[in-house]
Amino acid sequence: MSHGEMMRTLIFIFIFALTVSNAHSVINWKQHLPKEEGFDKAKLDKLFNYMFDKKYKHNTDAALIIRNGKLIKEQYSNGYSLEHTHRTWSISKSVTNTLIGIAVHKNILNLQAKVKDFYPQLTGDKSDTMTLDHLMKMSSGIDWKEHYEENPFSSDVIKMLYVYEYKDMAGYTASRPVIYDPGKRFYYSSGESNLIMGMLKKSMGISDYENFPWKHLFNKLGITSATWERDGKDVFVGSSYLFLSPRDLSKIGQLYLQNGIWNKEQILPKDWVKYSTTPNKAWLLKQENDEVAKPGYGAQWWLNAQTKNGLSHPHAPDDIYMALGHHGQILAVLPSQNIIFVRMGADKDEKIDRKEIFKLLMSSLK
Amino acid sequence: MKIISILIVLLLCTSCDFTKAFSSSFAKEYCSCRFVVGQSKKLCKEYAENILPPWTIKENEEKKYVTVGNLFKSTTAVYTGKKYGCSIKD
Repeated sequence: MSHGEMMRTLIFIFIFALTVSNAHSVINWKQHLPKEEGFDKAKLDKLFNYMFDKKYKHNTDAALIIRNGKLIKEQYSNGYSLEHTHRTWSISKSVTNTLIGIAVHKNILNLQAKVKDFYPQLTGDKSDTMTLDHLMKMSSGIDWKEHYEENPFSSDVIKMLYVYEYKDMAGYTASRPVIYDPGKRFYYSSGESNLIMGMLKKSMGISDYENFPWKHLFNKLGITSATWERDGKDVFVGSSYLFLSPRDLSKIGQLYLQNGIWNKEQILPKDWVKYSTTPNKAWLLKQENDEVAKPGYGAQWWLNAQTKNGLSHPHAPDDIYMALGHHGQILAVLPSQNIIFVRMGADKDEKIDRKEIFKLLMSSLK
Repeated sequence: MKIISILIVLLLCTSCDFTKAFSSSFAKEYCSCRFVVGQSKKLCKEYAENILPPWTIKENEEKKYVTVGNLFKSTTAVYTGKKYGCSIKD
């Protein structure tokens, strides 16, 4: 090989390597000046001060903002850095939605699949009509108590995660009585998210399931920080136990902002984001009886849907959708502003106010 | 007062399945904090504690597991690797 040929080969290898390494670079991680993307820097600092200043005791570990696919600002605290993965708690439910979207896109599952075909132990006539769609919309009709530290003694979720039911979380959920007609009553239930994950497991072989989140989602998005813990039946704990770094979590938001497309590949069905972020019928029925505006619900995603009492997040745009987790975890997608917002923390007293966060975020836009 | 009432209820109820939650929630969340997230023992202890501090904590850093005792029940949570993190073993 002549010197010239060798140089050409080296240049080709260099360009090829550069192309491969940038395959996941949908988001530009070089920090951009806030004013270049329409932010008032001083007002944006005010938002970060609200989240991070120790005097508020909000215990924020990490936060970042992406606009137009560019990182605008990120900050870490309490020993966290961009290298660290973080608990997402119930944000896991929204990523469970992503996995089901992929499974639907690949014809592995369909939303009208009967839950009883996967979990025959479901009892009562009402369970005959229960579908995957009902679980996605938290309207299965299963009797459930979703209490946390404030009332742990009668809580099904504490029992499921920590007593003996951790051995088979989906099985425990399916063993509960079905006391309402599916699709008629909205009740936020971690059990339903785990039942969804159980159905996903039963729809394929074990090795396909074990690798499913990585092969079909994380690897495609360049997500390297993921840990997804499992129950005693090796079912991913779809309700609570996904760990991601803040940057990797923002990629999930970016995927939804791009209508399920990543690097020109349609990863989610074309109408999946609409399905996930449209207020579901059972929630619409419930909000009629709410005395104050509460966040809306689509399919494993929270919304800022209009209620008879107005918006639950009056300062946020009405098209915002959110993945929310215990101790103040937030992934928010603001399509009309082309913004992804991530906040992770250990706010055990739940002191941070999401309404205030969005008020400060929106006021920082010029 | 609330904590004392809870303690009385729990001590009267040491044979209830529910008391398992105290050792298993600490074991599981401490294990994840230490071996998945990689935080310090001090931070993880603060994070995992709820209502009652554990009676005993035995951490094996080399084999990556933790055994926690509380209210006459014991739970071990084991780190199984980066992909699947920690899970409760008994």
